[in-house]
Amino acid sequence: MSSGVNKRRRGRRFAAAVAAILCILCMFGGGAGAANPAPVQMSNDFIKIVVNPGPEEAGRFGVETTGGDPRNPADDDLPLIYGRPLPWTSYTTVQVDGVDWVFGGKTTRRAGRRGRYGDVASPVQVQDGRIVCSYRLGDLKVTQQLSFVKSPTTRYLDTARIHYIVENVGQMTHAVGLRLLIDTMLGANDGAPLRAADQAMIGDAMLSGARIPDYWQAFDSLIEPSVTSQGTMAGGELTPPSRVAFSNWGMFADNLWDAEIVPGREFIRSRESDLDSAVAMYWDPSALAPGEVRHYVTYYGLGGITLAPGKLALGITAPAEVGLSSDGTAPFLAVAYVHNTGEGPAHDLVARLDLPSGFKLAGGQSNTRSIGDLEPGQTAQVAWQVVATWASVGRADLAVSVSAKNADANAVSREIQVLGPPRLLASIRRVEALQVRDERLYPWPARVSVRVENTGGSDANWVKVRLDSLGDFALSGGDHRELLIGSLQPNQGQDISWMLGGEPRPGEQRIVASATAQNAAPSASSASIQVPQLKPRVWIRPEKERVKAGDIVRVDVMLTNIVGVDSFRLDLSYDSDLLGLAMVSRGGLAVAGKTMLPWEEGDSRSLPGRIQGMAGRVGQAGKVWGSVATVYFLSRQYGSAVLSIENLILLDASGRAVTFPQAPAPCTVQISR
Amino acid sequence: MSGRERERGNLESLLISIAVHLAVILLVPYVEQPILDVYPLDIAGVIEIATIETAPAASAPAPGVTVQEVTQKPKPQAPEQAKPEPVKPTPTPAPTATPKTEPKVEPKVTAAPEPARQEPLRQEKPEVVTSPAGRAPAPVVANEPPKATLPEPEPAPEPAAEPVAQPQATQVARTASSPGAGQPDGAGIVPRPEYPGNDPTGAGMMAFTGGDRHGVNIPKGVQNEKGVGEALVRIRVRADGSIESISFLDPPRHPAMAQVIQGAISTAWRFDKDITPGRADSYYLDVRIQYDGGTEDVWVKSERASYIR
Repeated sequence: MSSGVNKRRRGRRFAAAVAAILCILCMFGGGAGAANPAPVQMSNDFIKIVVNPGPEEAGRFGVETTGGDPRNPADDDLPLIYGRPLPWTSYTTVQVDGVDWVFGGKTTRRAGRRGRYGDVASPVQVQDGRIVCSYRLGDLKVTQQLSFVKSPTTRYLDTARIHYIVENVGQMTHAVGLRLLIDTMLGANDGAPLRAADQAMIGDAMLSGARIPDYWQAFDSLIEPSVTSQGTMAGGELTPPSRVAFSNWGMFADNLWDAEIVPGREFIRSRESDLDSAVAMYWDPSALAPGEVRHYVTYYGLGGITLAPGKLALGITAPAEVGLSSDGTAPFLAVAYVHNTGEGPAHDLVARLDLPSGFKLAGGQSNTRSIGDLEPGQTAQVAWQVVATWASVGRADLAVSVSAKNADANAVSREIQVLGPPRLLASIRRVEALQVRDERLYPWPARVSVRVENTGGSDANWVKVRLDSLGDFALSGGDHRELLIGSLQPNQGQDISWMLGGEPRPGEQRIVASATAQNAAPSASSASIQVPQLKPRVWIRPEKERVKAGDIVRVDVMLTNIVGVDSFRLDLSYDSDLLGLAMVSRGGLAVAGKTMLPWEEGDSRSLPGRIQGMAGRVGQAGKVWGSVATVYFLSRQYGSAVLSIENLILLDASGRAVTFPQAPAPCTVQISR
Repeated sequence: MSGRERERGNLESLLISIAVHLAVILLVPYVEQPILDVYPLDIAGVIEIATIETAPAASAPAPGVTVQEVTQKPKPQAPEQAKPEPVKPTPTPAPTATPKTEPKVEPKVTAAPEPARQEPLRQEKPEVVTSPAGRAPAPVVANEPPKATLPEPEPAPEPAAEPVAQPQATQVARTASSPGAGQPDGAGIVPRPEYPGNDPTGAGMMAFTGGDRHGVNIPKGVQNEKGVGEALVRIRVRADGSIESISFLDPPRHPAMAQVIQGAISTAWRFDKDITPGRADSYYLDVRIQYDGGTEDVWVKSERASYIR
């Protein structure tokens, strides 16, 4: 019987051991699965931002639709950037003194394989509604922030805000540039043509300077577009690139910076045979001084085209909302697309843009444009640079019409809202009043708060707040005089505080703060602070002014706000009936760092109620503040015990007497029963 | 023990058994066994048996087939009165003063999957030789005749200046320093190499136009899924080195790779002419290509070369 039980137990143990092994194997299996971590992502009703968490290709991102355009059920859950489930084909190059660094984690695949890679400073994480990660690339710290932003074209949060912050944390100036590669994808179409202003890019192209349009778009069909993507490069807070290149992805994948652009060459992926369009935006290198911070911002997301079907299908795209800048104008790009859906060619097409009042065309343009002939299935595009003025503030419709010799005309209009310019208002809201406490300024450091508000009609971009004048104060705690706030929406405000320290002279000190923005007039505010005078004193500071009989009474002999003291000598008298001397110890001023300076506790035995010849050297240079000695007494009976400093001699480093206006005042300690 | 306990015990045993099997499956590492290629006879093609007197009826055999060519069994120079064993009469050169050698043909054919590894069979009973492993035709070496039949010992044989005229018993040996194939230096025998070049893998017969770059670029889609796979390609090459056809014996599991591989072979690979003296012929190479889309690594290895029959 017992052997049977033992057998069963042994069997159970064996089974348990096997189960444990299996558990371990499962755990290892799980570990293997963890080698391909899930992407870090953020989504809303329109789009999803997906970031590769790495370690390989960490930081590379993709954009996909979730609900996409609310009016278009066909554009849900489609990629706008290649690379599922983990994006890897779009990457960012940071060129430092001609050396190409790739932002993020290393790769063993084609895109950016030959670049230099830095060290992770902050891994990919979601932080305050943004997906953030940082890398150290040599002397630079580069941070990538991805977030949702309202599209200027659709006014939905259907666009990814791509923000790079490049800071020179080294000691030398570097020539720093940045290239952002976007491997565009429209659903399943990796080789969709790209459209910029009046150009349809079906092959390589490079645009630079004034030829760079505000945005480029990609769509598969003008009649029934499944999804329309848009890269926005200029306007608002955006940092316009120096140049933008359109080519096949393979060229950009293999070349970290300059790729061979052959105008007109089809977007056939180099070394392969598939169509694969991609866009690279370049911000050419410029000097970045030590401590300097540079920002690059661009948008990529969904585009918005208002369509009118017909034999000549017509579409128009333009920002749905523009804000006037401080000069009262707002230039923007309006593009009309015409597609011949008929069975024969359309001849002599003419497109016309009708502007409402308050709008005008930028110089040298005509409302009417000749397109020529359009073959069946072909799409043509016409672009106008339009300027909105003060008179256009409000809602208006831009109307485009197209006519042909042998086809019915068509027309479409798109609403645009023009907002008033941003207006900044900076005000110093609070300055703490200074007083003297314990022979010091209080509160210290003093706080000054500045509020910046946008009281205008549109966003103020790249708002900075700066303390222009500090008086005699200095910023404490490593604060910077200038702070970047970013964008301020209409009626939005922000408070900024600085801590003021230093050694201000007594009297009135003037503080001036100002706010500036990329597209708004600056605003400034000032305030005064009264700085009380601190008098040089030698005095006795009791730890408590009231003690009970039998308690220990501690007093410090203080030298405060005296300039140039090198040594001291003094007698301390006290009421020996009420206080019995317990101990004399060195004060903080008689210590310099870790060095004990010469110090004598004096003669406390020769005369009752007197410590004679307490002396020593002072370790502080300049204005001193501290104790030269700490004396402990035992309170014997109740009464008012008076302590006083006598025979005080203060000498400077050359042995000359240091004088000060006030003789040391006596100190009284109340001893109660 | 009650039935219930027994049932429980059985259940436990079953569970333990399952667990042990799972552990064995998961713990015992899988070791890939070497691939043994077995070729059917229809691929093997005609197995040739050539007598010493005749030239091969066809060119090289299919891969994996060892062809043992029959040669004369070295016979001692028999005295005139000695009767030869006329197993099969062979054309002989005009009678000379020296006695003829009467060849005895005893064909023996064996098939082996790896021709490269085959060793020349020892010449025992059948007078059979193995085709030299891609070397130049072997010299004709006279065997020492059996003493019993030798009337008197002969001096050490030397390569005959006129082998035809002195058709002593010959054997195709593996040394490569003698006259080339098809040259009339070995009693009319044309030893057939099994493959072009001097390497049964055919590695020496191919090169890349871009130096080390094989031109097999893993497509973006395969890299996207970090696809790993391999393919075995058969490249038929004409005698002049041009490609006749490319086919997959074992296609890659990523269709995009097939296109890439074919493109690379067509554009970035070059193949040597077959310069086997007198035997230049079409041939094929079996090349294995392995790839890893996660690292962009591609390995190209020629595994077998052979003549097209």
